Amino acid sequence: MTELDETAPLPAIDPALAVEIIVGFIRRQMEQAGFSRLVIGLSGGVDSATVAYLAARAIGADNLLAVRMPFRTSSEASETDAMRVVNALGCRTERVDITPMVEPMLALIEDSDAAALNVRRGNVMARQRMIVLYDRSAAEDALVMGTSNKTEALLGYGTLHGDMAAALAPIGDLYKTQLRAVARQLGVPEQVVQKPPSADLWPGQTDEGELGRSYDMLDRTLYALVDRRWTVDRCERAGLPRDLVESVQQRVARMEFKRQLPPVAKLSLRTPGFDHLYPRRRPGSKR
Amino acid sequence: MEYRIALAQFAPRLGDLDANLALVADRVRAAAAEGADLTVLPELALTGYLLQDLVPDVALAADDPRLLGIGAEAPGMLVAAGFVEETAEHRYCNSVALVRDGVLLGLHRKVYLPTYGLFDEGRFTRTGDRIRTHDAGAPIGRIGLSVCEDFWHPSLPMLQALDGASLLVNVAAGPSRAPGGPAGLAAIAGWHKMQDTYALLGTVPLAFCNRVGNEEGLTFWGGSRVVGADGSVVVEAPLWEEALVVGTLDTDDLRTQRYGLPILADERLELVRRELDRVIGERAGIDGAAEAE
Repeated sequence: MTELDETAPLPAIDPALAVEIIVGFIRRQMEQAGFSRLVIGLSGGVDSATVAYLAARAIGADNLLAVRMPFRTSSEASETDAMRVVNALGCRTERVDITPMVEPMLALIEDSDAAALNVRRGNVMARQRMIVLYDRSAAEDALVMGTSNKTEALLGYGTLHGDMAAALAPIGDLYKTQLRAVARQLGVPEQVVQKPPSADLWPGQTDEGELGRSYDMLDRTLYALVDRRWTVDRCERAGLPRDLVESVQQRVARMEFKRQLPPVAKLSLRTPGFDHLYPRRRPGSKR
Repeated sequence: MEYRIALAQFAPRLGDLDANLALVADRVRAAAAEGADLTVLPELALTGYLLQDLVPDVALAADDPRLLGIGAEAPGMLVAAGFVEETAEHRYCNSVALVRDGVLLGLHRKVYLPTYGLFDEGRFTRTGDRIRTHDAGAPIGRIGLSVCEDFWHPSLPMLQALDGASLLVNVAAGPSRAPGGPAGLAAIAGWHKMQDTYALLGTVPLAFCNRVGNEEGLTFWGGSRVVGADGSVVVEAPLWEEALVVGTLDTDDLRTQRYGLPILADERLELVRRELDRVIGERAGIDGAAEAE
């Protein structure tokens, strides 16, 4: 990889500064919204672990509720790693088994295409977890923390109204490879940082298996295409495989819809999104 | 003669005029305790930056007592602060006011409103159409005010230097991109290089006050500075965090610098104007412009 480091590098990051900025962002958003507590779905993976560390640093572990939401096929290792994070932070935690909520729905799902079936089942689980988190957020008077990173957002590797649903997206502008550096900066257990990323929606699933490429190569490609606005030709000249670059570019475009609010057919004089434009919070809108 | 400039880099509250007036009053008091003759506050210090359609809600007329009351805590002190101005014609501008003892000594309306990349200012505010300097009396003399992006157009500070400015004041709300990475570091270095260069080429000292804090996910980088007429840094505030720093300038330094390096006096304005007229004519496709010489 040393040659690519010269020509098509990974996005750089100053992890200490990134932590400082994200912690400031969380505090400011909470203050503006008038909330003092956060709820997070803790999977045992590096993304949610990192967000939990950031949240604890921003508002104190006492104000953080980490909800573990296994399904019956979820790996034991995920639960062990999630508890490792909870114990390290000393935050409150709760275990909600989503199996009895999800199974009646899964029983109704049939699809001749095995891949499509996996996606549909995965979406049901992700959305059920969202329902649990939002319910807890109402009970706790808390906001739901998002755990999607930039690589996932650009590739659309997430479930709309599922894991993508959140009040704040603290790591939404960090590529997966940058996120690991931030995780280490925060002291997230090395075991969690290093394990192969997985949505754990079915046994043996890994992100890199599903996406077909390593996060290392995906991040180099996304950084070149998105942040540096390089053309496909230039990416290829820099040593990135053309088929990878083209497939990533196409996927980013195809998934644009997941990063936007749904379009509104404009009929009135003034319409949110077009010409009714405000910051999310303003004086008087705080609870 | 010496004078002291305080740079108050802070995080205004978005859309909250009353809260910001209180924050500004705190900083004016702190600057007065440091013996400041001039206190510079950031762009849109009274309102916050990402206002969008809140613009009319927080706009003030230039003669509004709330604006003219800035600095009331420190009699005799000059204060420069950014705000949203509503003109008599209901034009909304991103302006900076220079106030002392309840009197408006100067006003500049941001001429260059960035409307590209992450910026959308031209959608919500209108451009200013004057580049002037304002007499603040001894010891500072004439002040050339500008707002953030105005400084990315060297013609603006150079015009102010040529128009007799003995101090340039730029108020800013600079959001960071790729903070800490090579591109982010280069962007901050670019801002600082530009200031050093304007001071050196305009043989004029300069005060730059940039805000900090986070709004809607954007983080502002701070790094406010006072630069001497020789382009050297007199004082520099830290990046990212709130700070009040004070720098001392001496009018004798300006005098010495301009004798030793009389480039401002040597500027061939009539030549510049003739060539500018030609360029303007050619760009506009006016017949005969190329032969104007």
